[in-house]
Amino acid sequence: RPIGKVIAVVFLVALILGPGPGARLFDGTADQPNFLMGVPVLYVWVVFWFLVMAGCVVVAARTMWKDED
Amino acid sequence: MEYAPHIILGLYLVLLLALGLISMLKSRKAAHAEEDYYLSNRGQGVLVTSLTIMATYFSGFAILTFPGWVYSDGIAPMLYALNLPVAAMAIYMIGNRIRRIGKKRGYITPADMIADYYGESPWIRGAVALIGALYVIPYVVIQVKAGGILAMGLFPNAPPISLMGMELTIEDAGVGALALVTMLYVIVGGMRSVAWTDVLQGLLLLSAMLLSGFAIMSALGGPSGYFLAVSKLDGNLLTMPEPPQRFNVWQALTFCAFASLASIVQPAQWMRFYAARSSRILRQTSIAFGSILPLCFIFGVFLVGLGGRALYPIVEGALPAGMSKPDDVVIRVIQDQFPAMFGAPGIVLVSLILVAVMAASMSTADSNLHALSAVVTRDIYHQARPRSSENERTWFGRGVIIVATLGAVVLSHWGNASSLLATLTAFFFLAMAFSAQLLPVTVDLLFLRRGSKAGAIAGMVAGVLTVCLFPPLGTLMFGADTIVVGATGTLKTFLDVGLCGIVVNVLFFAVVSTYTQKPDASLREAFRADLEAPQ
Repeated sequence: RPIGKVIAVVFLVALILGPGPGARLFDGTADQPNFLMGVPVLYVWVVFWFLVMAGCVVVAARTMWKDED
Repeated sequence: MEYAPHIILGLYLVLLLALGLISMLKSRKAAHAEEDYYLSNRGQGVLVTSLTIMATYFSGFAILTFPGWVYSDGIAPMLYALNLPVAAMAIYMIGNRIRRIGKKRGYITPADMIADYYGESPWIRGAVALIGALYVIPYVVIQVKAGGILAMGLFPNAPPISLMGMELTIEDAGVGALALVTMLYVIVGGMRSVAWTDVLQGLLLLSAMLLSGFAIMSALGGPSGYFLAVSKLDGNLLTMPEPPQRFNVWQALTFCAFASLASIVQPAQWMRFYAARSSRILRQTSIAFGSILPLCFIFGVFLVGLGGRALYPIVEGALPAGMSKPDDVVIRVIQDQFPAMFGAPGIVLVSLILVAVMAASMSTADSNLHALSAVVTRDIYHQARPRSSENERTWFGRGVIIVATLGAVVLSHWGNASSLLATLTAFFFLAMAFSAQLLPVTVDLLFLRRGSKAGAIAGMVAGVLTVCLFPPLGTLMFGADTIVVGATGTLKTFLDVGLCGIVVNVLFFAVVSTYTQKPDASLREAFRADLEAPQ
């Protein structure tokens, strides 16, 4: 279904950006790491992509997989 | 309070044996001995399925090594936790198809399914069983040995024990006692007792992961104090390393994409898919796995690794007193912080968490012992004695568990004196890469159905041989200074080893399949129908 295509695209983007080259976009340098409200940006990055990927699993389970069954 | 570790460990072991006995009583009513012993009669519910898959997925590595990586290398290793949602997707998308066709056609091991589709032959069954064994055997031995090391953590000042004229260290006694208890409950209850004890062990593990995160937060004065302390750490720990340093983005990406799937198609997990009662169970398991487990890492033990670095800094490359390796950080944090935070109950909590770490090792050892028994019985013994009864095979499987456990104990005790344990450890570090070589045939069988038997065998063998070229196994076989090991060592700094094996595997699989006979069209159609029929 269309929702399946959306989930697949979002999940693949999250997989490539999250642990992939995207992780170096905003982390700063060793001399000057970036922080967001006092929290290292790289940690925020891990939490953000975890939420996106886990969200994809939940939405898939409650929509397209439910229909399959 | 000084007997808290003894009491908690004693209660835990008694509870495991009780669960084994209860599951044995339940098994006595089973009509099909083999299906009941290996797959719990294909009737496992959501709580048991979720926790047994989680507990099998993670060994003591989860609560010791992973935070140890964060302690030594900073935030970058945390990205590896993003492999968990990928594995969660696979639990449903691959696992549910395995469950459907397994139920329809009565499969018990991965080789049952693969040999049934591509065509029965000792070669294809042997290749699948070999890949399973390359994953399972090192895991059993290393986890049994880890049990002994953790016993030393629980009873650091215990004197050696004399038994039948032999003097045993506390490590030897720990290995022996934990292996004996594990062997007993696996023998008496099969999959049911393994899964039920995994529920207990999984709950202990998840609680310990979160509790230790809470401890480090409190020790550093709550979230604001925690992140203030973290902000003062070396900037290298708060940013991504450049390749070829370890935990670089390419390693993280390929690990998340492929090591996750390799762990999902290992024999023990495959059998858990067969054992799930319905699609709904695996759908709910997928949600639990993809959300609860990463939470326990990202807001639990990972925080211990990073906060531990602020609390116990490494000065001029030397670890602080009381830590012999980075993996000790969780134990150090809870041993220092819990008594200070909770008083006397804190000492009990320390023992409880040490037992939870032990549980993590035992839950991996028991699942792999059980899977090894199924692989040897179904894929070797049953092929050699096709007329053997279900009862005979189940008893043979129990014999395999006894022999494998004794072998693991002997290796743990005497392996250090020979190079055998070092060799097995080398296999352990590549176990997931070996397991990944089942992925191409699994994806072909479940989704594509374009490969041939000869192609499947060629792909698996080529993939396994490719993995053998990588260090530490390649170093053992060819020496550290050879061109091959130099090349694979460099490649390993950028890519997951399992992926390198898969690339060669797929290449051989595709080329050989192009020129050899595929399974009959009617068989392929029957498989497609069975895979898509709702049940």
